[in-house]
Parts: sequence; structure tokens; C-alpha cells
Amino acid sequence: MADNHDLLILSNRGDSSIVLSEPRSSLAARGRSDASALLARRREPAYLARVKINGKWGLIDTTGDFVAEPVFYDLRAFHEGRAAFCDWVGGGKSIEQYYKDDLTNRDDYSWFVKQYTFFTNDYGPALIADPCSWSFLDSFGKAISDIRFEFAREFRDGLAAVRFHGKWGFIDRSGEFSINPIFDGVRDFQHGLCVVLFEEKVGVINSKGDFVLQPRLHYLGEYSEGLAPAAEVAGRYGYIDSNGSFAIEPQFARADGFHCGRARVNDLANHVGYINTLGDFIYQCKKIEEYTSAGGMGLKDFVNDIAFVKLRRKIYTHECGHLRLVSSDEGEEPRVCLECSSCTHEFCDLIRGSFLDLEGHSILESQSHFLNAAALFSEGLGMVELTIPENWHTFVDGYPAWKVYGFVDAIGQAKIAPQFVKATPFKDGRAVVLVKGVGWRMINRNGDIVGEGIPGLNPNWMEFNGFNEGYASIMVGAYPNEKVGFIDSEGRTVIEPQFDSADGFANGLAVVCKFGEERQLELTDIRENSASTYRRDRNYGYIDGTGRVVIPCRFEEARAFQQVTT
Amino acid sequence: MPLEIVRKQTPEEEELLRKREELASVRAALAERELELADFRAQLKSFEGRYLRQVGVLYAELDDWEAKIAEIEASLKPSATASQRAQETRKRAEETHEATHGEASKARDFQPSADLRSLFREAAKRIHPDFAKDEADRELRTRLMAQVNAAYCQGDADALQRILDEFGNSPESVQGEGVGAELVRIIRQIHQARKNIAAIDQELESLRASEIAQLRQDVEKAEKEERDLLAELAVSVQARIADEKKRYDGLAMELKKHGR
Repeated sequence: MADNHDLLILSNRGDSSIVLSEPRSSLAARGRSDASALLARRREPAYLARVKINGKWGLIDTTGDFVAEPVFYDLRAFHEGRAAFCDWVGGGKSIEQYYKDDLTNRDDYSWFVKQYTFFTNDYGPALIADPCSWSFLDSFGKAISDIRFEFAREFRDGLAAVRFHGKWGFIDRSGEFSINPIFDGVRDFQHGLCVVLFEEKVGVINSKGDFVLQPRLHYLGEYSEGLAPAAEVAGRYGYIDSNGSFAIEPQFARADGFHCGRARVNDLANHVGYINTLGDFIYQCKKIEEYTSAGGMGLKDFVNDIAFVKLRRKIYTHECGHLRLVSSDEGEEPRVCLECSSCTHEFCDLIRGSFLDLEGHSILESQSHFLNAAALFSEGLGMVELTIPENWHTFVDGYPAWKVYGFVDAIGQAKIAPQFVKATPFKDGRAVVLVKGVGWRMINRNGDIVGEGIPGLNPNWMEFNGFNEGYASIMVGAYPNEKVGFIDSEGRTVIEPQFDSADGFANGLAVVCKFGEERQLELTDIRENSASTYRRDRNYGYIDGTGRVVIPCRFEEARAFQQVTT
Repeated sequence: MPLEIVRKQTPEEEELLRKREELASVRAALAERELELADFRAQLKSFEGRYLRQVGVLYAELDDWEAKIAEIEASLKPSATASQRAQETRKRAEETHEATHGEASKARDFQPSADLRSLFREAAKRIHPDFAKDEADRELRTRLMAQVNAAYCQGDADALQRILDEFGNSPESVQGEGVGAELVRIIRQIHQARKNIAAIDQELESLRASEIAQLRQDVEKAEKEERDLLAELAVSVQARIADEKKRYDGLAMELKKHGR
């Protein structure tokens, strides 16, 4: 068969009309028809950000245009191309009014709390959500369906937990129920499995909604390293394996997940510590107050085979100048100096930190009683604080001179000797330190100073959050004139400090804030529990990498741009 | 004042001069239109090749799965309608396969150089069949013009030059007749050339209205929005193929259950 394509080339007037063969013309028509449908679909925005204006949340694209108008009382971050929203809050009634109007026959407040979602906004009393006001936006800013749920959580593994008529189930990305709402409570799916509460017992379902562990437990935590904390009765926790059998018998008052083969537990006397996978303690606090007085931050999970513990200690200073740290197992508080028997001058409570290895031993040098872990291990280096007795109660540049900071590695060796007046943990290979008599500098992992220094750094600023897309925010100036700018990894100022606050860069843009004039609030504007009658409006916008404001500061709140994936 | 002896031209000769000028102008216009048409055809050919390679083959695969499904459905629930549908879908699949795997799919990108375009203009001016003096000459020119079009489309400047050289040496190109006869011939040539310019415009219009040209226009429009419409089409058809495969597997299992 001659290829009709040649007609296209050879045709001349007289035999030209249309040149394609029928099958090819038809094929082109099919492509065109399908292409038209594709073109009709609006271009999917690559990046979106949540912003609040006039008390309502909406979505903007990188040009600042609204992709979804600000009509939502709550709008969560995107996960798997979907963002949960709440678009109705019971007509804006206060909790108290709603309670009076609609729930007069209910006196069980806890029931009330369970059934509804509460909101507070900046200008009025707490509002309450309608029983069915949650759904999801797609990446075009459109609701995925008209159905509303009492509550909705983020998508995981293609499913999102939603509550419908008081029961939890799971919907797919189109908004259809994939697992019917029959559960009293659910967690999120992880690795195709989900912990659910069914008829007051806890079990595990797969992504089809079938039970892989029948509901027979009182409690089941998240699986980690093959084990999950579990209890058949309240107050007796152990660990079950993937078959649902107890690998560590229930014997603890509290049990958390395993990390690096170690888990934090409380024994029945409520002494906190770490156990190994056999259930044996490798470290345990002797007194409850050691842990509980540390602001709830006492024992952290193991990361890279190291745990950070923060415990309460007492330190005594004596008239002789000697210091004495009281260890946890000392029953009697020493009233006299053990070295020269002089009297106690004063004592203070310290929250002292330490780094533990997998055997529960401190990796800090043990000879000095005054070496203290100051922050979590970060990038392989832990920040330590060394107390210098002879500098007790003296100050340099407004900072305590009896404390200096340095960094140790994972075996407790001083990698960067304690020498800095102030320091921040390492982030992205850099730490910011205050060098005595020199000022603020940036150091690398070898302790070498990088760059020329950071002039005018706010003395109270200690939030070095590392670099995002090559930029780190810094605060300069003193209250009330602090300003935030950005530096690069060499410590050079790349965006002059000019904002009242700023978040890190994300997808090429950073959220910045400019304060408005301080103004007195009208009485109706004041939250009932607020003591202040003055307020400075915060106006959020976005800057690019040159510091140019690309989306003007016109929002009450703004979140970082997210890459929207579908 | 120098003495000049000037032969006074006859009215026929004067008219012949004017017509020759007019003919030259029309020749140039016709050559330009021929070039425009040749460019557009070649671009369409190139685009169609790309479309067939990127998307057409997927439509062929999709049609094949649809034909398989129709055939298996006809086996599961035999009826005259099912059988007819199976035959129709199979025929369509064969046609699509033939259309997408023929010569047209091999067309490559068309980027004519300035020299090539200049040679084409020259050839169109000199060889165009509209300027034939008789029927034999027209046949020769039509054949040569087809070769010119083909050489241009293939970007073959050497071939174009060769055609021009051969034409220049051919005895048919030699001029020389009486004024009256030449005038008549030129008037006819001008008339024919103008008709042809109108016909080229009509052909361009038809080509622009064709499905492939419209699709190309859509693709170009999408490109301005940084979209690759052909790639999007391919993804879309691939998804439909995946669906059809699943459907076919389900039907095949059903057929197996029935022991057929």
C-alpha cells in the first residue's frame, strides 16, 4: 500500500485538498480531542502556601494569587496532594453558647470535647466546628467532594482517617470511603498497617480494613524496630512482636517505642530509665524527681546510639570557693566542703545533662563534675557546658563567665574544646558561637572560624536553625528594635536585617513579617483569657533569595510554600 | 545633444515589456507562496512524525487491547453484535498500527537553512509548471517541481541545485518566438500563476484546518505555558492502556473459568 504521506509533499493545485490518509487523519483527531481535554484542565500549581486573611485561611500560588479563596476556618498542610480543611464552624457560636443552645441535655463535658473540634481565633472567643465541616482540597484548591466529615486527618499511604457520625474510617484520594467508618479511634497508616480502637479494644487492620491483629488489647503503641508497646490491662505495659505475642512481658507503668535497641520505660514505682530488647534496665533514675523536675525533658530517645538525659542536680558553693555537685545517689546533702571542711556558702538547683551510650554509661569525661551536656547531639557533635569555679558570679559582656561551651564527639572526646561564651548546636555543618573579646562568629566542624563575623547580632538570639537553601536567619539589634536578616554559610550577610521576624527559605521563598503600629484593642477584640489590651498587628509576606518582597506583607499569618504532589 | 537613433517600439513590444515585468513580479510572489506552502507541509510532516512516534504508537497499542477485549467478550457472550464489534475494533487496530508504523512516523525535524530556502525560491521561479510554454513543457516542469518539493523537504540543497542546473541546460528552456505569440503566452502564464497563488492560499487554509495542524497548534500553545502536551497525551494514553490491560486480565480469567 502506497504511503499516503507522500501526498502531503507532492500535492499541487488540482489534487491538493486534503492530504492525510483517513486512518492518520483520524489518529490526529483522536490526539486533538484528548489534548483538548488535557488543555482544558487548569495548570496544576507546583507550589502553594497557606495564608490567613480576615480570620480565614486560603491558598496562594507563588504569584500571590489565591488558588483557593480565604474561606476556611482551618486549613492544614498538604500531604500526598491533599490538604484538610474546615469550612464551617457552627455559625460562629461560642463553645459556651453552642453548649447552652444545642446540648442542654448533656452535662458530660468530656463527651462534648470528644465529639467536636474546637477553634480559637485571634479576635474572638473559641468557636466550635459543625459536626460535619471537614474535607480536603486538591492541588487545584478545589474540594475533592461535597461530603463533609466531623474531622479529617492527613493522607498517609493514599488513605486519610476521617470521623463520620462519630465513627472513624478511611477515605481514598477521591473522597470515597475505602474503609467504612466503624472504628471508635484510629491512628494513621504506617507501612500498610493501622492501629484501631474497636468496641473498646485495640487491634490492627490492613489497608483493606481487615484485622491482622484482632482487637483484644487495652493499648497498642506504634511499632518500631519490630516491637510495639502494648497492654492488655491499664497500667501494665510490655512489648509485642509482629505476631501479636508479648516479647517483653507487661511489667511497666509506662512504655515508649524502641530506638537503637533501647526504649524508655517507667517501672511500677515510676522510676524512669532505658531498657534493652530483653526488657532489662541499662539505665535508671534513682529518684522520681530527677526526671520529673527536668521540665518533662528528662530522657530523650536514643539517636545514633547516643541518648541525651537531663536530670535535676544540686550544686553547692562553699566559702572556700570549692564547688560540690550532689549526685543522685547521695542521701545526705553535704553542708560542709568535703575538701577543706569550710561551710556551705549557697546552693542552687541545676538541670544537668549527660550523654549516654548504649550501655547507659555517660560518654562525658567523668573526672570533672562540672562538665555538662547542654544540647542534643546534632550532626555527630554534642554541645557541652563546662563550669569554671573561679569565675563564679562574674560576668563578661553580660554573660556568666563561669560557663563556657564546646563540643564533644560520640565517644565523649572534646572535639572542640569548651571555650565559647555562648554557642548553638551544629546545623548544616555550622555553629554560631560568641568568642570572648571577639564577638559572634560562625565555626565549622573542626572549630575553625568561618568568615568575618556577624556584626550586631542580638545578644539574646540563640535560635540558630541552620541553613535552608543556603540561607540562615539571624537577628540583630536589641529589644525593641531587633531585625531579622539572612546570612550564607560563610557568615556573610546576604539579606540585610529588615524584617521583624522570618522563617527559613522553602522552595525559593521565605515567610517574613513586619509589625504594624501598636494599637489598643477594642474590648470585643480581646480574648476572654487575655491580659493585654494592646496589640501589634503582624503582617506576613514572602521574599525571594535577593531579599525582594515578592508577595507583599498583607496576611495575618502565612506558612512556607509547599511543593504540591499528586 | 548627441545624435541618437532609437527604434520606436511597437505597441505589442511595449505591452510585452510591461507583461514581462508583471510576470517577473508574479513569479516572485508565486515562488514565495510555494515556499510558504512547502515549509508548512514539511513542518506538519515533521510534527506528525513526532506525534506518531510519541503518541500514535500508544494509540495503536490501546486499540490492540480494545480489539482483544472485544474478541474475548465475543467469546464469553457470543452474539452477532459482539462478533461485529470484535471485527470492527480489530480492523481499527490494524489501521492504527499501519498508520503509526509507516513512513510518516520516520519524519524528522525540519529546519531549512537560508540557502535551501533561496534555492527553492529560485527553482520555483524558473521551473514552476505555470510558466510552461506548452503541454510537454508543463509535464517536464511538473515532474521537476515535484522533485524540487521532495528535495526541499529532505533538506537536500545539492539535489535542488542539480535540478536547477539540469533545467537550465534543457532545450525546453530556450526562449525565442514572435512578439505576439510570446505576449499571449506571458498573459496566460500570469493568469495561471495568479490562479495558482489563490489555490495555494486555499491549500494553506485547508492544511491549517486539518486535525494534525490543529493539534500542532495546541501543542505550541501548551509550550508557551511550559507544558509538553505530547508527553501529557502519552501519559494519559498509557494510563488507559493500563486500565484496558487490567480489564483484559479480568475477562481472560473469566474465560478460563468457563473453560474456553
